[in-house]
Amino acid sequence: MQMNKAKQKDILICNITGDIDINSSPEVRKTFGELTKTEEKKIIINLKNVSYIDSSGLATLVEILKKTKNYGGKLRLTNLADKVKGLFEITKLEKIFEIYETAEEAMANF
Amino acid sequence: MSSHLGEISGVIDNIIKLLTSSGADKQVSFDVRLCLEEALINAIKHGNKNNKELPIIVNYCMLKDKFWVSVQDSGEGFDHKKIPDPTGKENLLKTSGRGVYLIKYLMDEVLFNKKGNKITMTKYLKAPKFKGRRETPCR
Repeated sequence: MQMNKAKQKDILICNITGDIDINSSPEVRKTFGELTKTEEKKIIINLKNVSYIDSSGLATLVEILKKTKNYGGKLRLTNLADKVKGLFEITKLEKIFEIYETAEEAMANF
Repeated sequence: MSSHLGEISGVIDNIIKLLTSSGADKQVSFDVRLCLEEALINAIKHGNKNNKELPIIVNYCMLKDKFWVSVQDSGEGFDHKKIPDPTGKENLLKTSGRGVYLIKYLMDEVLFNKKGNKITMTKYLKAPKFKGRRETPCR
C-alpha cells in the first residue's frame, strides 16, 4: 500500500494505491492521524487504485471521518472501485460518507 | 496455522489460487478472500486472544459447484446473534463489528457450531445474478 498527498488550493488530495486491510490499516491511520492533527479542513481520499478493503480498512476510514468532523473538517471519498463501493453499500457506510465518482466532482463544490 | 496475523495472507493466497484454477470468477474470489480474512482475524484476535501458542484449524474443500471453508479457534466461542447490527444508525460510526456482518452477507451459507468457536462458510462458484440482500441460512 502506498499513499501520496497533493494540495490543490485549500484541498488536500490523498491518493491511496493498494489494499487497505489489517496489514496496511495502521499505516493509513498513522498518516491521517498526522493530517487531522494539523486540522486540514478539506480532505479528499482518492481510492481509484484500491481494489480491496476489509473491515479494518472500513473502520480506519470511519475513524478518519470522525476525527475530521470533530474539528469541523470535511472528508470526501472518490473513485471507488465497484467491489469497494459495494462494501460501502452493504455496510450502509455510504450514508455517512460523501462519495463522488471523480476527484474533480468532489473538488467542484467543496 | 498459528495465531499469527502474518500467516493469514499465505493461507488465503493458496485458497484463492485454488478458486481461480477451479473457474471461480473475480467476485467470488473477492468475497471468499474478504470473508476468510475476517474469520481468521476474529479467530486470532477474539478467539485465541492473540496467543500464538494456540492453533487455528482451517479446513476447506472445493466441490464441483461450490467451495466451503471452516475456521476453528481454541477460544470460548461467542454468540453471533448477539452482535449488534453495524448498519443500525447508532452503530454506523463505530470502528468495529462489521466482520461477521460482511461474512453473513457475502457468503451463501454460514454456520456456527454450538460453542461458537467454529464458523463454516460456503460460497457457490457462480455469483448469484440478483443484487438484493440474501437471506443467509445461519444457525
